Amino acid sequence: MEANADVNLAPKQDLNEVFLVGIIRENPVLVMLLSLCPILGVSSNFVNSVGMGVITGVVILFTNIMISLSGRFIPNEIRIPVIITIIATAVTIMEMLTNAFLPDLHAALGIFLPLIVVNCIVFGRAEGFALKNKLLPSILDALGITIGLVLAFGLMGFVRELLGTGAIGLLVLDLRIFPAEFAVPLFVMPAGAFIVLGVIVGIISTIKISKASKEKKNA
Amino acid sequence: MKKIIHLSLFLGLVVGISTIALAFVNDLTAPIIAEAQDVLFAQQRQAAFPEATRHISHATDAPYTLEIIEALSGDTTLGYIYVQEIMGFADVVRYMLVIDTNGYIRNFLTLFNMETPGFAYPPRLYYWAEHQFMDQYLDTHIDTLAAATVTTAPIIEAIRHAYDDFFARR
Repeated sequence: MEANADVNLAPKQDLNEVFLVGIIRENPVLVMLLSLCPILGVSSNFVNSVGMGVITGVVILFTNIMISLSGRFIPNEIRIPVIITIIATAVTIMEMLTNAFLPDLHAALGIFLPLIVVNCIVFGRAEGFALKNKLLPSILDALGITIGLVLAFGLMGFVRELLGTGAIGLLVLDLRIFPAEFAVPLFVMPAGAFIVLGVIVGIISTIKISKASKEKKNA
Repeated sequence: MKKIIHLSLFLGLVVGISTIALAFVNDLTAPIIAEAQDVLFAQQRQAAFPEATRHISHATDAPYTLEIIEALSGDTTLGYIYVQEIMGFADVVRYMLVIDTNGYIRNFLTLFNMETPGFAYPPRLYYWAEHQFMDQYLDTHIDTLAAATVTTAPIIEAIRHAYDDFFARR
């Protein structure tokens, strides 16, 4: 099969940078504001929220590997349907595996699980990074983005469940931090998701702005 | 023309590989999923009428209804379980509608649901809110069920068909 001349491989990059950039500095959810629909929908519970982050991360990893291995052979004219087919395959496989081995998580995530197919991050990393890079950087990119996703989903789930119920459920363990009477159920409801996400994004933006202005002063 | 054939063949190859991968995983997971659903079905059927000692399955041509199960304690009928399936917003919704011999709905047990996770799931989460929400309906008679969404409208219609069958049966 002939190689696709339209795809130019990206210049060699610092692998540490490729891995680290997605964790905090370009966190897909809290900085780039992608994947907002699932994080608002499923983050009312810490375990489910982390589960969603991990499943999305596995899909990104699978897709990045497949695209980086086959990217040179994918004709430019049909790269989008090919990438979508690979993503849809990965998502369907993850859905079947979750349904079989983690049925509670599958039931809790509901429609948000198949909707990973249309998640901007998955397509963005596949088309924007893996298609132009070799296998190792693509794997590192997927791992960094996955850690960033799990951090964001975990943080949202933790804050919402803690404030909304006064406890954190860790599978069989139920850690009660404060009495349920003092919990504010608003935080586990849809409005609470917007409030918590807004506050977290606000804090991160403030830190970024103050850091940038300090660097400007020093320069 | 040659280009179009080349692109079609490439896309066909990708789809073919995807199909093989999906078929392999489906073969692996389908028996596990089916077994789990059988267990859930048996648990929910028992939860519908805990005092039931046996169940009789009745054939039906009622719309939306997959099966009607008569729950009995000895020779006394306790009620009927309508296993129904409707097309919801996201996917099919399968549930058990439990009607006692007086014609009251005793329970509504979900068997399969892919709708957006809502207020009622998981129960532990809504420790305070859900109890307050649910408690207002305890020991009360509900005169009307409104159907305002894509999912609830066919459920209400299916329940009406279940009642038509129930009254004919009674």
